[in-house]
Amino acid sequence: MTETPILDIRDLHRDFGGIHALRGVDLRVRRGCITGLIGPNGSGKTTLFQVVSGMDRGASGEVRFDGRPILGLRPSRIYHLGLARTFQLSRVFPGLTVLENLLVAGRPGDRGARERALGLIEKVQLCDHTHVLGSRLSYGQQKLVEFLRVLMRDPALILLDEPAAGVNPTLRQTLWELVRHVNGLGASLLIIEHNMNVIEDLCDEVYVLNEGEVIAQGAFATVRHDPQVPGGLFRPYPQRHRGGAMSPPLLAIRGLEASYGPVQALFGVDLEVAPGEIVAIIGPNGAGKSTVIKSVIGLVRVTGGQVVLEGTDITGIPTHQAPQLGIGYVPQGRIVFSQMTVRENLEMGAFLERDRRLRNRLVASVLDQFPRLAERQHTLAGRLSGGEQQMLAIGRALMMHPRLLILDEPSLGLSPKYVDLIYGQLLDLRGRGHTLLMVEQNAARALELCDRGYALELGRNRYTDTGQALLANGEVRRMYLGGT
Amino acid sequence: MDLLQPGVLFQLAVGGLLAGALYALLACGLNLVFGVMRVINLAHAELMMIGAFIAWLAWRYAGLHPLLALPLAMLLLYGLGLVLQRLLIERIVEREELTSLLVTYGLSIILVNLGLLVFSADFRAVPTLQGAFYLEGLDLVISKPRAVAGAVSVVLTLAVYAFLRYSRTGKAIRGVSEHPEVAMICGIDVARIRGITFGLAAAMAGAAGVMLSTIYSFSPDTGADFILKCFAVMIIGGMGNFLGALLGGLLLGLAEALVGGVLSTQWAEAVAYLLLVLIVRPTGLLGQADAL
Amino acid sequence: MRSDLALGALLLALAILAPALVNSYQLSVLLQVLMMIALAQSWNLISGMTGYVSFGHAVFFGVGAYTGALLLLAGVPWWAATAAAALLATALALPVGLLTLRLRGPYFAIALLGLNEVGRMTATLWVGLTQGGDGIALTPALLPPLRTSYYALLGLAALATLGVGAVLGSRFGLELRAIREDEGAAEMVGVNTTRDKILAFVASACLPGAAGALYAFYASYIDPMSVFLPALNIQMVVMVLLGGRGTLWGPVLGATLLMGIRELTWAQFPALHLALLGVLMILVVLFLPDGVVSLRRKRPRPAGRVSEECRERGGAEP
Repeated sequence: MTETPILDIRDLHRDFGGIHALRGVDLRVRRGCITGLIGPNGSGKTTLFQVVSGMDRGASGEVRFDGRPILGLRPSRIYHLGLARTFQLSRVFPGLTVLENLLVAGRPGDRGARERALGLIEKVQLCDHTHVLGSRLSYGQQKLVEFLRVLMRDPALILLDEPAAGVNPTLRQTLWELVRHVNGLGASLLIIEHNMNVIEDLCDEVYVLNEGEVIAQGAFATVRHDPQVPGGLFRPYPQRHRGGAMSPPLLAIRGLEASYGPVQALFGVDLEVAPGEIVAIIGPNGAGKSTVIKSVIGLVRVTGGQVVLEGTDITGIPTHQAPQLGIGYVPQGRIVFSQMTVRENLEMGAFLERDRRLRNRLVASVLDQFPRLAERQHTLAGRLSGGEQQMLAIGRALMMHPRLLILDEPSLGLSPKYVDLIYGQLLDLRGRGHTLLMVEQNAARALELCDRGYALELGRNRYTDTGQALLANGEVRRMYLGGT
Repeated sequence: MDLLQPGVLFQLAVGGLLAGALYALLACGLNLVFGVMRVINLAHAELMMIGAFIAWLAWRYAGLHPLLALPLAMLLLYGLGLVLQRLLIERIVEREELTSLLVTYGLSIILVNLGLLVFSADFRAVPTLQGAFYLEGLDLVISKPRAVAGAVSVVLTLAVYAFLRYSRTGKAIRGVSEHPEVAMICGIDVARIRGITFGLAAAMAGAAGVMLSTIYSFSPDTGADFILKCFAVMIIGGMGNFLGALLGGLLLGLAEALVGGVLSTQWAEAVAYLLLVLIVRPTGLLGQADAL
Repeated sequence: MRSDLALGALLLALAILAPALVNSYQLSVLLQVLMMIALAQSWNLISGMTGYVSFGHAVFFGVGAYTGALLLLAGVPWWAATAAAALLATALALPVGLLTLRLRGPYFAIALLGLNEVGRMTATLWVGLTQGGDGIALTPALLPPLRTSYYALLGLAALATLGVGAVLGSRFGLELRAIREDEGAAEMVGVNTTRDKILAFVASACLPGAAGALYAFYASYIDPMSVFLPALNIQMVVMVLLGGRGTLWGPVLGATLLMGIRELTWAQFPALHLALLGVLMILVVLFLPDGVVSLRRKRPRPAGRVSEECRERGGAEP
C-alpha cells in the first residue's frame, strides 16, 4: 500500500545567518499515524514546526501536505488546508474566553461552530470554564484549550509541540486520551515530546532529530537501540563515579516557590549543594529545572521559600548583586557579547573590579584555564564556534572567583566533541575546589558527572540521590532516561 | 539655472552634509535609547528644543555665546534625562514597545505645549555667528554657523562613539543593550545604566538644539519636523546601529540639500517623509516583518 | 446587548430633540461632540480593536475636508460631496494600508506619524488644486444650515457607533481581538491577519473622510493647518484610550469627556488643553490602560447556567 504520506518533507534547509537549524531534513508522516519527533534541545524540532506551519518563511526545500506543496504559504492558509499546530508555550488568547478562543478558530459562517465548540469543551470537562478568560486558566488548562482550538476545523494533520509540558498528570491523561480519540477519527499527528514513555505508547513511528538532521527513524524499539542516537536520549553510560562527602551546605534551598507572572512554576523545591560538590538537576521540559537556578539569582520572581548561601538568606536578591555574593552564573544558550572580543567579554565578567591591573590578572588566570580562548583573545566573540562560546561564557562566570558556579544546560546544542571538552573542564573545576550546580537536559551525562542529583517533575522534587544511585534506579531510568 | 554644474552640486552637497551631521547627532541619541531599552522616545526632538531654548535664554539674558551655553545645556538635559527615566521611562521598559510610543507621545505633547505657554509660538534664533567661510581652492562658500554646527555635531557624535567603545560605562551600556540579563549577572546595575543612557541621549539632543538655535529660527513646535527625520535616519541606518545612524544622518542631509537645490526648498522638507514612506517596503523594515 | 440598545436609543432620542432645546452656541458644541464621537469610533475600529495604533488618522479628515470643499465649489450638492469625500478617504486608505500594515505594531505607528504631515504638505504645495496656504473659503449660499450639519453629524456618529457595535458582536470583531491578543497565534488558527487589518483600516478611514467634509461645511473655511491638524491626532488617541479602547461606549464617553475638558480649557489656553491631554494620556496608559469604562466591573456569569448549556447537548461528538 503506497499511499501518499499526509506530510512529506524533503531536503529542508533553514539557515539563520550562519546557524544551520535544519540541514536537509527528510521526514514523512504516514496517513492516519501518530509520528513522534524526538531529539535534544536545540536540534531543530520547533524550527521544523515553524517552517511547516508557515510561520517561518525562510526555509528552502520541499514540504508537501497531502501531495500539495505548502512551503511559503501563510499560516492561515495552511490551517485552512487542514494542517494545524500548537505551541510549546501556550498561546491561548488571554483576553478571550475559552469559548471565544475556540470560536475564532472555527470556519467563518459555520452555523454549527458554537455547538461544536461547546461539545469539545464538554469533552474535556471544562464546562464550568466556558466563559472564563484565557488568562485565568491554569497552565495545564490553557494547553488543553489550545489543543481544542485547533480541533475546531477537523484538521487532517496536527503538529503538537510538547503538548504535555507543564501540564499536571490528571489533565495530561485527558490530553493523551483526546489525542488517541482524534487519531481514531482519522487525523494524523506529529508530536514533539521528551517523555519517552509517551512516545513508546503512542507513536507508530519515531524520527530522531539531532543538530538539524534526521539521524534515525523507525519504530520506537528500533530507534532506541540505534547507536547513532545520542546516549542521553535513551541509554545511560555505564560508569563509576565517586560522590563527595556531606558537609554543611554551601547553598540550601527550602520550600522554594516561584512564578512566571500568574503561572506558578515551582511548588516547594528543596535542594542542597555542599562545598566542592557537583550537583545536577534533571527532569523533563517544564519540570522547573531552569526556574530553580534562575530563582537563586533573582531572574525569576520567588513567591515562597528560602534560598540560603553559606548561612545568609539571599532570597529574592537583585540579580546584579550575584557576583558580590560569590555566585557565577552561566546562562542557557552560550550567550556572549558578540560585538566584543573574547578578552572584553571576560572583562565584563569582572565588571565590578575597577582596578585595571587586578582585572588583567583575573583575565590571565581564566585564559590560563582555557588555552583555546587564550589563542583567540582578540577575536570577536560572535565569530567563535559554539563550543568556544560556551567556554567563554563559563570563563566569564569564573572571573570573580565565585564560590558557587551555576550552569544552565552547559551541553545544549554542542557537538559531542565539545560536550566532552566542556564536561572535562567542569571536572577540572571541581578538582580545583569549585562548587557546581548545573541543570541538564542530557540527564544521563549529567548524572554520570555529578556527585548528587535531583530529579524534578512539574515544579516539585521527585528523586534525590548520588548520581550513580540515580543512574541505577529503575524508576529514574524509565522516566528520565527511557531505559528499562 | 545651471543646477547640475559640478560646482553648484558640490556646494549643495557640503551644505547638506553639515546639516546631516546635526541630524546624525540627534538620531544617534534616539537610536541609543532604542538599542538599550527598546523604547522609542517620541519626545526626543522636544528635548532638543529645550536645548535650543536654553541657548536662546542664555544668549538673551546672560549674553552667553552658544558655544559656552553648549556644556550648560548638555548638563541640564542630562539631569532632565535622568529624572525622566526614573519617573516615567523605567515604568515602561518591561512593557511592549507600543506603550513606550504612547507614553512618550504624551510627553512630547506636554513639552511642546508647555513651551508654547511659556514662550508663545514666536520664532526665535541665536544669530551670533554671522558670515561665511570662503575656501578659495575649492571654490566653496560655507556659512559660519552651519560650519560650526556641523563640526561640533561630528565631534560630539564621535566622542560618544568612542565613549561607548572604550570606556567602562560605555561597555556596560553596550552589554546591556545586547544581553541585559547577562549584564546583570556580571554585576551591572541595569536600571542605573538605563538612566545614564537616557541622560546621555538627552544631552546629545540638547547639544543638537543649541546648534540648531544658531542656524534656524525655531519655535516650540519645531521638533515635530525633526522627529520624523530621526526615524528616517534610523531606518536608513538600521535601528539600534550607532554608526548606521551617523551615516544615515549624513545621507539624509545630503539628499535634502540636493533635492532642495534641484527642485525647491519645500520639496526638500518632504524628502524625509517620502523616504520614510518609501522605505516602508512590504518586506518590512527589519526584514522579517511577517514572520510571526 | 439589550441594555446597549436601550442606552443607544435614549441617547439618540436626546440628540434628535436637542436642536429644539438649546441655543446656537450650545448646538455647535454638541455638533463637535458628535463629530468627535464619529472620529473616536473610527479610530477605535482600527487602533482600539487590533492594537495597531495609528498616529496619523487626521490625514483622512483632511482629505475629506478638501474633497468636500472642492466638490461643493464645483457645484455638487453638499450631501453628495460628503459621500464622495468618504469614498476618496477610503480609497486612499487602501494603498496606505497595504503598504504599512505588513509592519509590526510600533513601526506601523511611526510610519503613520508622517502621513498626516505628507497630507498637509501636499495641500500646501499643490497650490493649483487647493489654493495652498491661503485655504479655501466656501460661499455661504452653498452651505447646509447649522441644524442640517448637526443632523448629518448625528447620523455619522450613530452610524459609527452602530458599526463598531456590529463588529464587536461579529466574527470579524472576534478575529480583530485575536489579532490584538496574539497576532501569530491568530494567524495559526486561520485568521488572515493582513486581510483583516487592512479591512479594518480602510473602514476606519471612511467616516473621518465624511466628517472632514461636514466640518468644512460647518466652518466654511479650511486651510492645510486647520484640517490636517496634529491636535486632532492627539485627540483621537486620547478619546479612545481614556474612554476604553475596543469597547462600544468607551469612545463615546471619551469624546464627551474630552469635549468637556476642551470647553473648560481651550478658550483660555489651547496649549494648556493639549498639555493636559498629554498628561491624561500618560496617566491612562500607565494606570488605566483599559480606560474609564473598565472601572465598571463586570458581573460574573452564574456558573450553573453554563454547565446546563453544555450538558443540554448531551456531549455530542465533535
